[in-house]
Amino acid sequence: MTELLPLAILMTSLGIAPLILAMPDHWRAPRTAINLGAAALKVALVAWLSVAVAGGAEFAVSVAIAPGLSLALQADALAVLFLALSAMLWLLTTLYAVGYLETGTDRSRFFGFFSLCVASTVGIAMAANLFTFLVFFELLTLATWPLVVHRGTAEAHRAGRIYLAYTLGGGLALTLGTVWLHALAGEVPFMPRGVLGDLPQAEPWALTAIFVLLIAGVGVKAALVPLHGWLPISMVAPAPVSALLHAVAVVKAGAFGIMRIVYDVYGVETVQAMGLAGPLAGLAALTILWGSLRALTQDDLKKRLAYSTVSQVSYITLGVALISPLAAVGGLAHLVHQGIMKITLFLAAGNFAEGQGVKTVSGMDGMGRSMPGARIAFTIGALGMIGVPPLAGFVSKWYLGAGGLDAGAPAVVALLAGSSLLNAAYFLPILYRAWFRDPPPAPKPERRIGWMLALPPAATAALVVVAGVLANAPFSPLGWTRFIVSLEYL
Amino acid sequence: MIAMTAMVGLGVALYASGRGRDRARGRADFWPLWLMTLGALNALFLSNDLFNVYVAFEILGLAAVGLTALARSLAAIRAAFDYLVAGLTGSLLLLLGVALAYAAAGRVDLDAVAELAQTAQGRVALRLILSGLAVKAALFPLHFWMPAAHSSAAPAASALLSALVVKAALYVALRMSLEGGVAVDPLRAALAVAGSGAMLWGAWNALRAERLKLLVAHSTVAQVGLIALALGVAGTGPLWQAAALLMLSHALAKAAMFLAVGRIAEELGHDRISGLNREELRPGAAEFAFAIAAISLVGLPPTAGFIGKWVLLEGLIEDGAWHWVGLVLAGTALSAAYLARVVARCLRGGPHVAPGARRPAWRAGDVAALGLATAALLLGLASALPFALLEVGIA
Amino acid sequence: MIAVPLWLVPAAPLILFAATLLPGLRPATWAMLPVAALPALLAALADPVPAPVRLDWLLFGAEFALTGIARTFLAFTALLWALSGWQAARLLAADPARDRFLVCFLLAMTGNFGLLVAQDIAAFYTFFAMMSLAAWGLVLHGGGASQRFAGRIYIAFAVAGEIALFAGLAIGAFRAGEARLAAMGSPEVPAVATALMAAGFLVKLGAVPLHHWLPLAHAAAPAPASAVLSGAMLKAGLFGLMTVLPFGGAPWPAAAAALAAMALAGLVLAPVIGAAQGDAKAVLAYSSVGQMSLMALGLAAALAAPGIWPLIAPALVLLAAHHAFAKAALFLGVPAVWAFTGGPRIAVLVVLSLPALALAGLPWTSGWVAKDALKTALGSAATGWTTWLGAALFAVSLGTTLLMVRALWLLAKSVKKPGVPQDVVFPMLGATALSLLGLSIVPVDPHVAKAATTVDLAPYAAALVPVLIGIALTRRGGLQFAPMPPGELIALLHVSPLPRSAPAAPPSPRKPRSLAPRRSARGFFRPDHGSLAILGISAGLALVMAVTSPPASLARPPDITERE
Repeated sequence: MTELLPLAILMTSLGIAPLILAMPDHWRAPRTAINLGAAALKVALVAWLSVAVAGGAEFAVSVAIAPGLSLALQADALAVLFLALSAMLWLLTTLYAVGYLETGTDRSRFFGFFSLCVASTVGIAMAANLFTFLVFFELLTLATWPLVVHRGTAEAHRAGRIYLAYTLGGGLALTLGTVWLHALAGEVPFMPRGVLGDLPQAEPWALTAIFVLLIAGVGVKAALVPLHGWLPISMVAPAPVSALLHAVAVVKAGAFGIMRIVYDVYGVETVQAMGLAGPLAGLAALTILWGSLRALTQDDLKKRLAYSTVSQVSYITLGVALISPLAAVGGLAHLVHQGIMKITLFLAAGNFAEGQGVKTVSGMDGMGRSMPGARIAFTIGALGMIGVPPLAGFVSKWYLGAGGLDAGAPAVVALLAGSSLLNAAYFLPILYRAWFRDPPPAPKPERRIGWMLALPPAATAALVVVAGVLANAPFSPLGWTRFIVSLEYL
Repeated sequence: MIAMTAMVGLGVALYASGRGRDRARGRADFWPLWLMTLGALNALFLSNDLFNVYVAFEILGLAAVGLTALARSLAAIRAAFDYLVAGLTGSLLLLLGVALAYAAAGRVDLDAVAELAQTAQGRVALRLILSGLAVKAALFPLHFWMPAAHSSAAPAASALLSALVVKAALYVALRMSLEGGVAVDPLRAALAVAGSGAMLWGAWNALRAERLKLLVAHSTVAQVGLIALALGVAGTGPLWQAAALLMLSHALAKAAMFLAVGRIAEELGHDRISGLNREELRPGAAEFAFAIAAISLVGLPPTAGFIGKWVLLEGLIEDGAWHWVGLVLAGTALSAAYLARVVARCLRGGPHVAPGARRPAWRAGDVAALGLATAALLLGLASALPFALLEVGIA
Repeated sequence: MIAVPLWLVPAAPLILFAATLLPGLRPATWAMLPVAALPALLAALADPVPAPVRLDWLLFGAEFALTGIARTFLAFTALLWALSGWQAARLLAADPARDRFLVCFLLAMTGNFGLLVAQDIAAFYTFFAMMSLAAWGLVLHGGGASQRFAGRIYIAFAVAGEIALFAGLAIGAFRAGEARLAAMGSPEVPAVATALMAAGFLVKLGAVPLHHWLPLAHAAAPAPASAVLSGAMLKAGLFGLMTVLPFGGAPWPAAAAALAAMALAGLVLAPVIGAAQGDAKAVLAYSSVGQMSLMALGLAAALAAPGIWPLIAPALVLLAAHHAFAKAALFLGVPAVWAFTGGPRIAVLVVLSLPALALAGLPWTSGWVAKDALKTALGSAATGWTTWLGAALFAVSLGTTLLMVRALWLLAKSVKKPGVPQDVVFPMLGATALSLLGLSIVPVDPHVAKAATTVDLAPYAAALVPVLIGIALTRRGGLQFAPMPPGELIALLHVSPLPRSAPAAPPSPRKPRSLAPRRSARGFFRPDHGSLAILGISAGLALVMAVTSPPASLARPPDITERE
């Protein structure tokens, strides 16, 4: 039974997707029940799995589909980290989406692809080899597209086209890299410390090219700088989708891919020996600064958040690329921390738009008074992003800084300082407007925010606080990442 | 090879059952032609002899012309006539080739191909046979007849034509290539070049197509090109399996796609791409089937198209044939581009949909299309099965 | 004495903060505000010092303990917060946005107490940041144009300072190999880290090139908030410097010279600019700049001659405590003066003149004792410092006297403000009493000052001269005096405020495609002023750090003698 646990976790979302897709739109109650039930079930299963993995159990399921190709799932510690994040946030986002789209059209389509999207994220998390990873990675691209264009406006369709162009392009690069690697090395399972053996000495150039291809492929989703153009544009999607896109699914899948490639395909030592870590770290640094700079100039709230994502996700890349256990802890912890912080921000921003039609930074005046709940959540998320202790963002920044020093790159500390400055520069004015400006005299249209919309951001904001304050507790994200890193570096 | 034939036969059977239900509302004339097509195909797949192949092709060609003309519109009849002429030309070439081959080698089994390549006369014969096949398979630049024929025929007919009839020629080419060994390398190179040309040309036309069926027909041109390219570069290595898998996946996906297009056109009353997002109609199962088929055609995981491309690319990289890799990738990107045109419009919603928009009812055609599309999808996950059969075939 | 567990010190205001989240509990929270400081006070005064507490689960494993100088700091800080909380509860009773103030006040209180008891870097930095950011809310509270401007400048400096501190602590912790705060003064910590940390603390302390936020913020914040800002939070900067600067090791003349230059500049500039201010709270704020500069001078001397640190440290603590009480009394007196007219106002002013005189360091006051302690300590230093010292103390006495006269003068002339309840006078009286007697309450090393001589009165006599000239000019010459705005250079920005950013323009139809060349000019939103300010100030800060910190690289060998 327990061997099938990864499969069961995958099926909780993959299995219900066709079911929901086939439902007529007006079957609200059964759809909601299935959605929430499956999400809750997944959280329970993932909790079971993580306890088992912490106890040293190993899970692997594999199906050969062609000579030399197999779809394989496993649940190692890294997978569990990502799984736990996606399972928990999926539950909250589903709840939020149910409330958010109460009156919308095409809800069956939306929730069907929503489930598919999470299923592919889960598949990415548990992929045991590069081929399986690629399969779910492409599936994610496809499953997210209908969500991006969900509103059906011309703008949404343009965003969808651009999204598709970027991600399919990335998918091609990834496919080519994967095939090439297969041609050189045979099947590529994910193993801590890499699987390439002596190959780097034999084929340095080919492997460098493959690395570039693979990183470019996943880098599109991780929004590394020259490849980040789709992210701010796809902000036309409904709020729960943006939240999912930014916090869990697409962007994180990219970052997670970078981790898998560096840690489990090449192995840190190989990456360092081949001189690939430095350029990757440089790219991440560039992305961090560029994203922050662009965020400064955005007035649209969701776009500002989007550029902030561009910048923040590269912390994860940076943590991976700085070859140092401390930085790795910071990067991995940021995978979770950025997820919960950014989802808080997006859900709160969605509430502003829903409740009072406020979508711009300049329209934020006095929001603290009219919508204190969402505003407090937003404040916690924003302060966490800046890296104010004791919130979650501080923990990852601290480890990244220490990791930078550990890796002999003190410039990282300067980079973090500069990025924190920029973060403060684009987040604090929002907080200031919301709390210390008087609301405009003209009354805004108000819509009551139901508990389904109010609860998820509050819950994630609480997680942000808890993840920071209780950083040293054993089951915190930090504790878990230390465990993972000890596997990779010891 | 019997196993391989059985495989394709299975695909045909699956398809035929779908067709049967779909044609419940159709004309009685369809059935004889349909049976004739199937019979000819089975004969073709089972024959081990170039002359038998020729005979089967004649039957097939006539049946196919009939199928095209079934729509009975002026355009369809004109297209059928073009098809007839083209088919006859192809048959003529084929016949000439077979005759020459007989003169050169004294026998016409497929095993004789290697022998044929040794003599000048034999090479001419092979060349003639190949160009005959190229006409039949609508391989660029001899594809002129095909888009018109496939797009003006009734959807069920075009599904048959595009999914199976075209494959017949490719199948024979595959057999010849396998039997021919190293000796037919120049022919293979020609096949690859023509294939890449077809891929780009078809994709370009599909991008510009205004009607859905035309787009799908051009997409067939492009896909045939891809398969031909795979055949061409396969050499004697294991890459032919990729070509075979691509053929299978294309058969399933393209049949699903034509049927879906038929259903869409039926609901909408037209098949203009720009008119796909009509206000009073919500997308239904047919659109969904189209999307899945599109995924398979583009070659995205986990479909059979993906596995086929994967094997193809892996082989190409191992051989260091980077120009072919680039071409395959370019073709993939283009196919994604033209298919996305359609699928994007299927995802209509929001302001484009009137509140009372109806959803099309389920019909047998939807079931058939969806079933075929799902089969294309699952074939990817279960592609160990065809590979195993192909291994048997080679042994 | 009741044994107070140390974790309760920061937790008490935090518990009240949690209570404010329930609207029903807010009135009760207001009433409890002064009590929130009680655990801190009890902990500071407890005779066996409370035992250290270790909380492994908190942050990276937090440790609380009350050591040495922290006790004194905690004692006067707690007293100040209690009195200010009391006055705030009265003063803001009718304010519509009072709950916002309450939240910020409680968070700042938590931060201020917490940083004094925290023993590990993460907890210390957490509390420090909590205090700085929450104080932003206090500065912004009034919501007027000057508050907005002051808030912008404040947050820019505060964030820049925080980040410098973060960088410094990160480097320091990594090099020292441990995360205890006490390790930050050890010789393993590279000079760069020390300089960064010091920069962070100097911003908080209000040392001269980094002081621009201080007068603005003090003038803008409500009086009780100014009292804690000046009395308690500035001292957090001093506390930080006393903790992280390497006083035990070898002398570090370069840093000492830089610090001394900043201090001397402050001593000279503060009275000159402060006396020209037109707002009593701004004048008091400049006086704080001057006083904090005096303390920085003590630190500089100890850096140059580490041998005298055991003498200097208690003197600095004494000075800090004395300044905290006196300055808090003055700030709390501002609304007290506003509440009255006529006779009672004169009475209030007379009472206020006591802390004012103490601050000026007149003989027989606490200020005299504190200054004498510093003087004695510095007197034992190596040569060279005594000469500076005489001039500095003379300047500070003269300057403070001037400022105090000016402040009381402005207060006397201020108009009565309606809506200020008269009972705000009681916290002021309490603070005044503390400024007279406080040094005997808080746990400091006693210092017996030597008797004053006539020579010591010279600065006050000298101060009278410009005062008299000023009065004569304004009275007889009909000369009008146009007050300067607070904030000097930065205030110039304020004179011509930047235009408000345009309302959101519709996004241009072309979206950025980073791979394709831009086809249309994109609308470029000017960042909010605060962002510009932050960027500018961080650049300035970097420059200052480059100048003040010795050119030391990270890879400095552990050899300590390099500092010579």
